[in-house]
Amino acid sequence: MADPGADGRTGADGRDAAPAGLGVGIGWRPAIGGFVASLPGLRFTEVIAESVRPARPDPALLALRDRGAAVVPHGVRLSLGGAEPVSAERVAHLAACAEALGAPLVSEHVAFVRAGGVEAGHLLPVPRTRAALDVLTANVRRTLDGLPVPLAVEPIAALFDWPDAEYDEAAFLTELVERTGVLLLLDVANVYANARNRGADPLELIDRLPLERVAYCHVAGGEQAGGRYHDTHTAPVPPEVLDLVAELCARRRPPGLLLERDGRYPPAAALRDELDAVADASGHPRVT
Amino acid sequence: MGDAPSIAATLDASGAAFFWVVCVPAAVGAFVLALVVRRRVSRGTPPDRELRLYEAAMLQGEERRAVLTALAVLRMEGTIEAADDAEARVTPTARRAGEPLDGAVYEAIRQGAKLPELKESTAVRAALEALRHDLERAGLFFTSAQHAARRRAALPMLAALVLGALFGVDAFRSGALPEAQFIAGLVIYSLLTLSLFALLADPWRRTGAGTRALQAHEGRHAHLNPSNSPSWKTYGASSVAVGVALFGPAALAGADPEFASATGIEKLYGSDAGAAGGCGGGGCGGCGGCGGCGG
Repeated sequence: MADPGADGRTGADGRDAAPAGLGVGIGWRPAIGGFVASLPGLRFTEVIAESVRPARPDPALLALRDRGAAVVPHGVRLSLGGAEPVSAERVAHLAACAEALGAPLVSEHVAFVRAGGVEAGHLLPVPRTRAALDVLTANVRRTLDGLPVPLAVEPIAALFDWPDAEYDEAAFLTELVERTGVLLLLDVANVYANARNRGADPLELIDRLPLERVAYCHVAGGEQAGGRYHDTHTAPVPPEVLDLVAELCARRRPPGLLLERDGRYPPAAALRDELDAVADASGHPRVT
Repeated sequence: MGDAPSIAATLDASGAAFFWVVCVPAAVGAFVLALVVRRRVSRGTPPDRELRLYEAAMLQGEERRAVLTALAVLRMEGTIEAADDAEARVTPTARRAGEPLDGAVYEAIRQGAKLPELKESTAVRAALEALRHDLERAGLFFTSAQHAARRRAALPMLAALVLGALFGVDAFRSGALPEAQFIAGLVIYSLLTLSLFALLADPWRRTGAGTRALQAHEGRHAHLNPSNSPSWKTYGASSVAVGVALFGPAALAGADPEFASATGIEKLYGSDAGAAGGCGGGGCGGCGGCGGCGG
């Protein structure tokens, strides 16, 4: 690795540094691209990496980049937790997205989406075992080697846990961070969903995570269905998630918080209110 | 005619050389000249303000698009609804003051006009005529004088083509122009003749300024393109009308699928925009559907 801090990517400890000053953002989706562009204070957005054509990105994304907003490619199909080595083509695509959009970092999930050539079509949880952590570590290292910018990994909302776990979630993520130097993308809504479905206290997880390694956070709304809370990204952010944002920020405020919305979009005024609520809960300035 | 000296002989020149060195370049030159003159005539006046709704509709799709946009405005107001037999009718909701065109379309529907016949209503026709005159005055549509000037610019080309064709046929018949060269000339003259017909018919209505203003307007509202599956609920009713003006009936079908389906509006007013519906490529990505992302 290069001199710590000399390349603007690494921190004093020689590991990739979390980007500073992202603030409150919202995920860029084609359906609400005009709304995202209309936010006067926006300095941060995220785009699904698989939807980006690096050779010809959407002009709306380039316009955001050109006005100084950080556009973070967010991968959903790298399958970092898969047993197979991560695909070099997919890593190259993620790298090309970062280059094309001038992104300060990219992000992906701590999950697998395919196995044995079968696409699951969903983000599936990784078993919290030593063997799985070894595979995940190798894939994260391969990905880091192919990226021009830091990587942040996001623990998912899981509706089940694999049996015979050798780590709890906090220990698993902490060891992954220590082994690879990767950053964390902490989805506060996922933390809430998992805790609610497991009957656990979400703050117990937050208190045990290396919060100084959190690059940014996701915030979203979900729905209770079939006896479980689903992180659907199609509902308003519930007060409990906003409370959790406030608790997290009281401990250590992450550089950015991003509202994820993937459908059943509300009127612009309601989206602005949600962004304001996230800003107020986190202490970041409003962007509306 | 048989004993008369050929034109080539009269001009005392090699028929083939004269045809390729004089006739063909003259026709091509006249074509280029016509384009240059037309371009000068076509500049128009750049607007110093944002295009209005119906101006954008007229520039994009002329009267047909303007009427469709009026239907979208009325539908978003809730003052019309689908009726039986793929028609529309007014609702009890009172209309607020609007633009002359949506007022005229509303009145035509209230009086029982069928959707395909709206353009024929006297009041609608008058409103459309007024819109067109406004666009001409604003320098965004050609005036009739500009159309005439654009057509006149093609007259030298007409003369060059007629004279060149006469010479070519004469030279071919007298044996001065070999058959292969005659066929090559025929192809060139055919293409130029087709171009001439287009120039004389002059079906284009937008000035250069009109085209640029429309392109800029489209760029500013690209997020309303149905290919993005715009969230109309987020953008609001007024944006639906802008989307319809710029991108056609697919925008209305995306915003109000029940009305569009019941009236067959897409078929009636043509589908000329990107496909609406679907996930839009972004949000649903690899999460395996919009229902439960977990990421």
